[in-house]
Parts: sequence; C-alpha cells; structure tokens
Amino acid sequence: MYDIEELEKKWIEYRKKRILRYVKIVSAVTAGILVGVGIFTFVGNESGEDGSVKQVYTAKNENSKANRPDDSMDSAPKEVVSDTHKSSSASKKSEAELASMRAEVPSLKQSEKKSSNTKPAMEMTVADAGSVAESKSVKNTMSLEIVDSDSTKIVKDIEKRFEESNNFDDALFLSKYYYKKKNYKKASYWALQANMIDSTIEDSWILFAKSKVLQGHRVEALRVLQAYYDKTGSEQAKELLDLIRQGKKFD
Amino acid sequence: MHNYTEAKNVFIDEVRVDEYIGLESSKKAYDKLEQSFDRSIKMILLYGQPGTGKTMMLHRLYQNNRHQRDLHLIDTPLGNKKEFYSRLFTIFTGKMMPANSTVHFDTLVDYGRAVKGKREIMILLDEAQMYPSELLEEIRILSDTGSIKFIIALHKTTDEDVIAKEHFQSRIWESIELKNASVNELKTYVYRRLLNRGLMEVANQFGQRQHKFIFAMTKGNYRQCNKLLYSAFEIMEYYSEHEPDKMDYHQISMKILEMSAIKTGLIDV
Repeated sequence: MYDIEELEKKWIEYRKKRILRYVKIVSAVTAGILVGVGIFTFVGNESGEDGSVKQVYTAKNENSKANRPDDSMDSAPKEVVSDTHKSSSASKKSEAELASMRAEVPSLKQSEKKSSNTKPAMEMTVADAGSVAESKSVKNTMSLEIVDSDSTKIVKDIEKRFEESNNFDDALFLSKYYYKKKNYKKASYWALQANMIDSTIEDSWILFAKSKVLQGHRVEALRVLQAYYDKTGSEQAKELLDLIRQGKKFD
Repeated sequence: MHNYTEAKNVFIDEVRVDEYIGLESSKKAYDKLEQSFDRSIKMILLYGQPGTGKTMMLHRLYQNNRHQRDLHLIDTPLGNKKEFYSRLFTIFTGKMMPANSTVHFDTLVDYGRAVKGKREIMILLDEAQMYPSELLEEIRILSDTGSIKFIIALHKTTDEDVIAKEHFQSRIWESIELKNASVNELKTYVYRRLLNRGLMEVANQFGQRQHKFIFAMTKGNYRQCNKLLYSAFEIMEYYSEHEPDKMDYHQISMKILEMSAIKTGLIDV
C-alpha cells in the first residue's frame, strides 16, 4: 500500500487550489457584475440628463411605426432579394480571392498543411469535397513501409491485378517495392501510374523524382519536382530538390 | 462489514469474458460483428480509443462462436513474420508447425485460394496497430483470397493506427467504432459489475454525484474507470482497516474518489 498520508497531503493541496480557484471565479464574476451595473447606471444618468436623446428616440420610433403601412408589400422582398444577390456575389468574390490567395501564398499553405497533416495545398482549390476526402484517405496510406516480400509472385499478382483494378494503393506499393529493389526504371513507371490516378499525393512525386535521378535523369527529376514544389510549397519536395541540386545522396 | 477488497478486485483491469457488461452501444457493435460472420465480407475493422472495450468484445465474440464457426483469435501481437506465418499454419492445418521448418507466405496464399468455397476461416486480430505495415499488407492479400476473413481491432489514437485504418480502407467492408460510455452507461457499468459479484451494498453507496465525478474524470473510458475505482476501493480498504472513523459506510466519500483520481494521475495536483 502506498503512503496514505502523502496522498492525504496532496488531496488537501488540491482542495486548497480548488477553493482558491472558486474564490477567484466568484470574485471575477462579482467584479464583472459591479462594473456592468456601474456602466449601466452611468449611461442611464447621462441619457437622463439629456432629454433630447430620449425625444429623438421616441420620435424615430413613432416615425418608423407611422411609415410601416406606407411601405409597399413588394418593396421589402425586392430588398431582400437584392441583398441576397449582394451577399452571394460577395461570397463568390471572397471565394475567388481566397482561391487566388491560396495559390499565391505557398508559405500559408505550408503552415496549413502542417496543422492538417500533409494535405497538399493544390487540393484546397478543388471544390469537390468527396475527392478531397478520398485523396486524404489514400494519402495516409502512402507513409507505409514497402513490403519486402520474399516472393515475386505476389508482386506479379499485384501487377496483374492492377490492370483491372487501377488501384492507387497497388501502384504505389509496386513503385516502393521496385525502388527498394533498386529497379528504378520500374519504380518511376509505377510512381507515374500512381500519379496518373491521383496527382495530389506527394509520395508518388517524390518517388518519381528519386527514381529518375537514380536513372541519371537529373534534369527531368528537377523539372518535375520544381513544378510540384511551386504548386504546393512542400517541405519534403524542397529538401529533395536541395539534395539533388547539391548532388547529395538521399534515402 | 463492507467488502472493499472484493470490490477492489472487481475493477482489476483484465479480460473476463464471463463478466462482460453488454451496454446499449457496445451491444449494437457486438450484434453487427456477429451478423458480419454470415456476410461475404473480407475485412471488418473494429476501432476506438484504448479502453473502449475492443479486446473484451473480441474475446466475447470468440467465446460465443468458436464452436459453431471456423473462428480463431490472435489476441497478442506476434513478434515477427515467421511467428505470424506459423500461427496461420496452425490455424489452417490444426497442427503445430514442425520444428526447424518455415512456411512461405505464398504457400499460405495458395492455401487460401485452394480452400475458397470450402472453408470460411475467420481470424480475430487484436492490437493490429502493433503489426508492421508489411504484415498488414500481407493480411490484406490473404483476405483477397476470399476464404479468410479478418476482424481487426486497433486503436485510433496514434498516427500509425490511422495509417493502418486508411491502409485497409479499400478492403474494409464494415467499420465499427467503439466509443467511450455516456454518463448513464458508465453508471450502469459500475453498478452491474459490482452486482455481478454480489456487492449490492457497495453498489448502493454510489450516488449521482459520485457517478458524475467518475464520468468527469474518466470521460467514460472503461479502463480509466477501472483504474479509478480499483484505487478508490484500495483506499477504502485501508481506511476501514486502519482508520475506520474516517469512513462513511452509507455513501462513498468524494474525498476518497478525489484521492484516487490524484493517485491515478487523473487529477494533477
């Protein structure tokens, strides 16, 4: 059994803190109420002293009441309709601005991506929520490690299956597999296949670029990767770009 | 005399299938899982935060169906591929793997294809988030043979778990989430667990205030609730033995519950 006295001491400390917190909250609320009452009283006195304010207010009210029957019944809906148009056009405008801002500010995209766990910014401009959700789900699968299967038969099976399924997971799996096996030609081929199914997934771009470099097609890799970086501001793409430019090794 | 030692033991965090408490939400999930046995589904995902009762549900499912079906439970993650293959070999053949021998993955896949339509093997796989991704990929391939159905339980808290879930997304036909209990469900859970052991007198010592506090501390998580109550009854056990004047035998003191929450780290002093 643990030390019950020690636990009791901690409990007393906890109670004290709770009571203190309670007192603080009560004090804050009381102070707030007092300030509120003070302001209300002050404002009340101020307006009470200046009778014209009250008069104007009453007059306005009466005026508005008197005007009401004169308003034609169809003028109000017109106003509403025109307001709606205004607001919808405004929202369209803001959407367009937002889209252009998204396209123009890669750093913002990057920070968005960091917080929302890697969704490329180019996806943000796609209005179809379904496709975004789908690409997100596929995206997460990308960080899986490559299967180092003992049997090439499985790989052949997946290749065969791909002809019918056109499944993104399978294409990426094959690309990773061949990359690990140092078959960079096939790795880039399958990365391209994956990319053709869903171009918003970063891994396929990275794999494609790496495979191209390792085949000696450095310029092509740089061109592709730079285009991807320009669109998304991806940190991973930037890192790889730097490594390729400096002629350094990558994983 | 109140038996706090017995009450304490009620809340030891271990799998006791015979003491399974079928609450409303978990019962729905259980029924859904059981119904999925008869449907042509390759993979079923059971997910939820740690402590929401996934392991208990898999054990219950296994206990209730193992004699009627070709059902198998892998409750602890196997160390490596070889062990996993060996376990599958035993499931497929009913025999232990001969010493100093290995089985290849494609042999298992071939077997799965060969028995399609003749056998419907169902494997309950607990703690799937512990398996390496390459093994998860192979499980996916095995399920594609059409004769092996996997019911996979995994946490949804860490990135890896989400990845695992996403990884199977296209193969999963049924996805069942277990959530934390509501206040009333947690109340029923505590009450029934004590009642199952004949501790009605202790169960009646919990009032609305105590239940609300337990829920507030544990957010309806069964594992946290077990921890909290185990510790609370341990404190009560101590007081009733050494300082009985500090005990209120009519109602569980809030002080003791708070002390227990401090001890279990649910309250940070």
